[in-house]
Amino acid sequence: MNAPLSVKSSPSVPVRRKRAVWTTLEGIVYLLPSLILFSIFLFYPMLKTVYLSFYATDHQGNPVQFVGIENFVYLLKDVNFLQSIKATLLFVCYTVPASVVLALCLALMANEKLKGIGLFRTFFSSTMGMSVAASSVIWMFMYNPSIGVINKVLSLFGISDVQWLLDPKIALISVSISTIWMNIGFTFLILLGGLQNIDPTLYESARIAGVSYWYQLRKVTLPLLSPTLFFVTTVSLIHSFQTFGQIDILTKGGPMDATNVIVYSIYKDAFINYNFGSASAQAVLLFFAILVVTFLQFKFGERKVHYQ
Amino acid sequence: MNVLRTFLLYALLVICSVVVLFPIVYAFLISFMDGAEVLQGHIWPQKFTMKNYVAAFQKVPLFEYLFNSFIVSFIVMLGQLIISSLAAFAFVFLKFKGRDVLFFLCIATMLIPWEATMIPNFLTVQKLGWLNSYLGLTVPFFASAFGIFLLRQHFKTIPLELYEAAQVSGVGRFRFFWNIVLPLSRTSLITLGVYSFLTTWNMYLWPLLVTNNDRVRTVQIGLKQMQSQEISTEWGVVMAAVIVVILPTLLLLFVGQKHLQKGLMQGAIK
Amino acid sequence: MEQIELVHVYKSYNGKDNVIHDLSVSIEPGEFFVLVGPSGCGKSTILRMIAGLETITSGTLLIGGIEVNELPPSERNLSMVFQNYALYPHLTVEQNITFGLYKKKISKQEQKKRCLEAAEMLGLTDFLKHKPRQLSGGQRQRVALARAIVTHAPICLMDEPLSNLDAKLRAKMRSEIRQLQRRLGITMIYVTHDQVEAMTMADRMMILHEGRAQQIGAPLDIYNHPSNTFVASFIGSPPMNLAKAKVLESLLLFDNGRAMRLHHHLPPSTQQIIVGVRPEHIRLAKPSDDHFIAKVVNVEVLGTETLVTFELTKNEHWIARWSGQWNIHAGEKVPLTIDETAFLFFHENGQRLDHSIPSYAAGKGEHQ
Ligand SMILES: Nc1ncnc2c1ncn2[C@@H]1O[C@H](COP(=O)(O)OP(=O)(O)OP(=O)(O)O)[C@@H](O)[C@H]1O
Ligand SMILES: [Mg+2]
Repeated sequence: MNAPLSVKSSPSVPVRRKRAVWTTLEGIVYLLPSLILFSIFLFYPMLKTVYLSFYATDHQGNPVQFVGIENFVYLLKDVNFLQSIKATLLFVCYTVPASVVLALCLALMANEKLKGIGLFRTFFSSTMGMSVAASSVIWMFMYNPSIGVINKVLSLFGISDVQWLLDPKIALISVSISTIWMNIGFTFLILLGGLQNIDPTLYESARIAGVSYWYQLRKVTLPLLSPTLFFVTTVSLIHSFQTFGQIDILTKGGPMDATNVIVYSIYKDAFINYNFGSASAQAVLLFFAILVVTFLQFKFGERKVHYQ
Repeated sequence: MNVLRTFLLYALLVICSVVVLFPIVYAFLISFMDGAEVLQGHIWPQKFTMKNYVAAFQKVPLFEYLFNSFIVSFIVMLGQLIISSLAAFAFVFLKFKGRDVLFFLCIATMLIPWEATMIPNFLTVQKLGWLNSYLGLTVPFFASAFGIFLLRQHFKTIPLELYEAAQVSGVGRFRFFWNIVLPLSRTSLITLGVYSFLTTWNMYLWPLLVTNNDRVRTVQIGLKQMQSQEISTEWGVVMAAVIVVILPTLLLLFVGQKHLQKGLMQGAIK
Repeated sequence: MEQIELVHVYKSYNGKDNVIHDLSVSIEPGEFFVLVGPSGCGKSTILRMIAGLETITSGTLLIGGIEVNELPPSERNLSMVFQNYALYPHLTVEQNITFGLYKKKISKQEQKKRCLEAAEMLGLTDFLKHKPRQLSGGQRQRVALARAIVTHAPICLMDEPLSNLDAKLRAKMRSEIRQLQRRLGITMIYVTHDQVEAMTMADRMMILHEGRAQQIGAPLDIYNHPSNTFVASFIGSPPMNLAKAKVLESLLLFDNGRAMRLHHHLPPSTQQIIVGVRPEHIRLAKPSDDHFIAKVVNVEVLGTETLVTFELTKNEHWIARWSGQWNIHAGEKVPLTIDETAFLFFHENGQRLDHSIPSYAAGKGEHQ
């Protein structure tokens, strides 16, 4: 082995530190726009929301008096708010499972290798291009009791005069149906992407083994699709907690608060009643609700997920 | 695959398509009917008339709304692409202390529902004097955790050796970012672009809060206005407006569908 | 042309375990220096430390006599060729070749000139407008080479640049790279795990094992005088035959009672040693030779040579390599002989024992 040459000092620490500082600065520069924007429009307002939720506010949204958890206590006793929670939860239960299951069926069909399948894929994903406002206006017309197509069709079967959006018993379901329709495009597109990510040789080996379609679906397709299903369910859950547009256009939270879901309730409290403190308290509860749901999803849902 | 199965599949596909597409086609047909026919509850117009479209553009400033929506969506798209790609680049190619903490912070923002922050945001925008301006409609949406995450996942597939080769030959970081990383990530940039354009175009609650005049109002709010004002009885006109509003996004979706289908998942999984 | 020196260099990725231990070597200007060793021994790590892509945990790296530990890669004035070529897939061959010249403040004309020069040298002239994916593996390899050449850097680093090529092309590129290095007179540090590549290309080479340098020297020196059993079995194909043996007077006693007598060429005094013999030194014995009989267990006739595997002892097989085609079959018993001078002796711990001493000297040593 070569004899060591003159042994020099160990690596000069200052130079290295200086370089590290430069790299850090450069990194910060690249990140700066995002960090600033997140701070101004996400972190700060989130904290401010929490802050406001402990205050009574004036009409400009300035905190006037510290009230502690009174906003929350009041909310939890308030029938209107409890109704709004109930409406939100029901809405979530009506829309999420149905959207995912329907979109999954569509995606499974659209994943078959057939002539012209591209056209069907485009059809099924089309509602993703539909805005909430446009969709709601269309559904509003379809639900119209006298001239809407739905009652027209039902009248052929002798059912008449269903007040889709005015009957407190049906309104939430009507809104849910239109929401499911709006969700299908996005959910379908993601699930189809997931299906196409599955290695085709796995299907081929299942084919060679000669298993039936349903067996293959249960044992190959669904397990391999589970990360996508998990993702799509989580996103849909979060999404449905945030529903606003269709409520605003279709029912305005009515009738009798039957569709007064939480975001609509926040909106009304803050921007119609100018009760920012109470609205902030609701926003904080919404934040925690979503946090908990996401957490539960990850805790219990992810166990069933098979990552490839 | 046997013939029966193929036949059944096609039948199912057609039935599902009819159900899914019905509301859109229905709106399309209504938009060609005159008022009397709409009230009779027809599905197929007896004669097609363009009057509703003309009326839609005359009775409300639909052109301005469209223009506003286009500008706002385009600016947000551009802003998200630039800002997210810069951040994603730093997260993948720059190694520095605290990077992972910052990344975690960015991802954590996905957990904050935007609606929970809208009250202070509204107050901020009001204080900045950005109500009824493009600034107020666009700037709050420039930073997107989803965009950063999506692009980061894609940047990570670029072989590190390319970066090292650039380093050895003395190519600066920004030049590497601009000339190598961005061109190589065209697909995900398109995905993100289409996605952010679509979501901004379809945005409803925020424009509702921060606009109250026609100069900056977007089409979605315009639709709500139409529907809730007196012309709401003229369903044909409203539907004509609806068709005009959904046309751009539907076209964009059809063009970008393949990208979205592949790209959106990439951001989510792996 | 500049000298590269590593002085007591250590590398640790996690702050605990050293991946490179106390490495000191000096690479001369214009030398073709090969780093060779099995997978995971730390070759790439060393190369990347020289390039500046990894930090040096402790020790010093000097280029041209100047410490460069903290210099970023771009300021070390070297070029590098990566295993997967690291070509930019969306740029043409020409853009790929000149991409790195931008920062060096070289005029467009000069860039063009150098690019054409390099392309000509490597036969890429017709492909300048192609994208990498339109090229074959060998052509891509050449583009990567061209990119290293155009920088006119005096030092070139290559990390397993041929491992993605098929055997034939590899042989061709081997000599091309060698010629190119001679022509340009650059200092080359070349990493490979293939000992044939190392043997055929290197001026000098370093054999690495688990992050430690095992031996540094010219290929033939290392082949003939491996400094330990690792080097002995790593270099050469088939590898050197090794077996444990006891030394008793002038007898080598293997397991199962096989013994060989040495007359002049005895190992130094150790009871338990490891004996090594290169396959080409085991011959078929003539009647007059001192020989031993061994059972053949396998024969591979390769055209120009024949590899004969035989039983040295019950559970140790050795290989002999004879030129030409031999008609021998498994199960036959053949008389074999080994030139005394061909024996190499290693300590039980693997270290080579001092160059074997003629018997009279050894004899003295043994009976002290
Ligand atoms: N970035 C890293 N982080 C942690 N450990 C690493 C890293 N790179 C390499 N190592 C470890 O260092 C050791 C040497 O790796 P190195 O890549 O230098 O081997 P190599 O000799 O080039 O092997 P190969 O012939 O397979 O390329 C290995 O044990 C490897 O696990
Ligand atoms: Mg390596």
